[in-house]
Amino acid sequence: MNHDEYREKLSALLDGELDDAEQAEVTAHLASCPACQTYLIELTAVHDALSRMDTPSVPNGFAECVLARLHENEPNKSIDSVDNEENERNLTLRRRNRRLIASLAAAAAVLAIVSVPRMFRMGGAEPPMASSARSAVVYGASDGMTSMSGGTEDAAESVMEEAAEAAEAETAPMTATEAPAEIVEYDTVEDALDGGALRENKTMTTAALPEAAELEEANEELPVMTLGGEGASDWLAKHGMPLGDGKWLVSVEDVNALPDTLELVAADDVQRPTDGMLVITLAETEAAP
Amino acid sequence: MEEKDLILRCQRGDEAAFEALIHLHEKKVYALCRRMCRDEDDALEAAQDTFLAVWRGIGGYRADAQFSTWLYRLATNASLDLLRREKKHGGDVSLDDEEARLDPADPAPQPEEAAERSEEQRLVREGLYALPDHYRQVLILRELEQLSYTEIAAVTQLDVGTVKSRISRARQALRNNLAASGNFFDRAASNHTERKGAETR
Repeated sequence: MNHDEYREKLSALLDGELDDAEQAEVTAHLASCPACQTYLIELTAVHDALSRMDTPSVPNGFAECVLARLHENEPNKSIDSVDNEENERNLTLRRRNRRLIASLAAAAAVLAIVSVPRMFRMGGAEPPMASSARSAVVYGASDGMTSMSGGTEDAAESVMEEAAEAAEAETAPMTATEAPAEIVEYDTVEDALDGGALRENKTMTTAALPEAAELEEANEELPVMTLGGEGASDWLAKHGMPLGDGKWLVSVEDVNALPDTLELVAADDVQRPTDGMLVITLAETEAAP
Repeated sequence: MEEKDLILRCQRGDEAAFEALIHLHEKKVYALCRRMCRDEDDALEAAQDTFLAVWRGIGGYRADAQFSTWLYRLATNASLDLLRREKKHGGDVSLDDEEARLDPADPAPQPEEAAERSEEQRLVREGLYALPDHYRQVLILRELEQLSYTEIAAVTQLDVGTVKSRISRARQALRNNLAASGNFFDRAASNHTERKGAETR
């Protein structure tokens, strides 16, 4: 067994999780291996320090806060599991919508609507009732736009109001995209994305402007991956939609057609999606120690 | 009131029972979230999210299952979700009050032992927060909650082998973080020598 394997055994030894045979083997090895002895001492030191960590105390009124949030989110107070799922989904999507719009608003160059090359517009029937009062959101690509300096939430919101009005009036000038014959308003951003809005260069319009601060939660359930390789930032500028903070929203379709020189990396638990969207960041040039 | 009783009442929509259930477990849940999330506000939000998830999911919860396993899972998931959201929009890492108090630049003199202890705590905390989230998760469940590998496997829905290797890697990473910080292991070595010396007297 090499020392890497021993490290894992030593860790398990510390936790008392080795069976008798393994324990005997590791103990025998330890007797004659200074490196492993040192490692075990160090692990023990870390373990001791962790056991001395203070237990933080709960703030007063914690339970009351939970109940307050409960009443804020679920006025019908039903705990039937189906209703709960529905409420949870609505809550998640409401917050997600607000977060998505806020992050777009924060990315200053994104929301200048007037001369946007990639506006997304959807065709369809009359809009369904949106009980959550959050419809889909306006997107725009950053290239070739009148940029907004500062990108304050107020400024962004007013731009978005203009965009909504313009889109509703169907006067928003669009270049390089076809306007489909009919208009559809999706209930939620998620539905709109699932409806292939970005892939097919469609537009989503807002019926109401949610709070900007919660927009970013819109992307909370999208997987995050990192793009590395020469030309990665150019590729992202071309195929992705900037969300600000070095992140882009990209469709899986585009990702599947990634050139060989670029590489997409994800953390262990992140599944590469088979369709829809994902969030991509650029690889850092230095690996973390 | 027995926990199973409270759970049954929660399933019937009894908010008073829910409140009692919160009081039963809030300390543990908050401590877990606090160790997962560096920021105090984040920890609070994750802890609240945990209990909201309990309320929402309790309809489907089987009373014969181990409640704490489910609770730990909800708590670590709430923390992981929040951390992921924070990373996505830049993550304002604000030092919480605890960190500020332990700032080494603090001019207030402390007795030497207490100062050493608080420095050790600061280093360990920093080292813990520097770990990747999923490493920190298993290490916290093992070291702070004292769960067995099998219990951790149930909470995280990983197999025991993965839990074992992940804990080992988490410890190794934390050990490396602390070694890089300069003086953590010097202390450890001298403590070890002292203990050895004391034993032989």
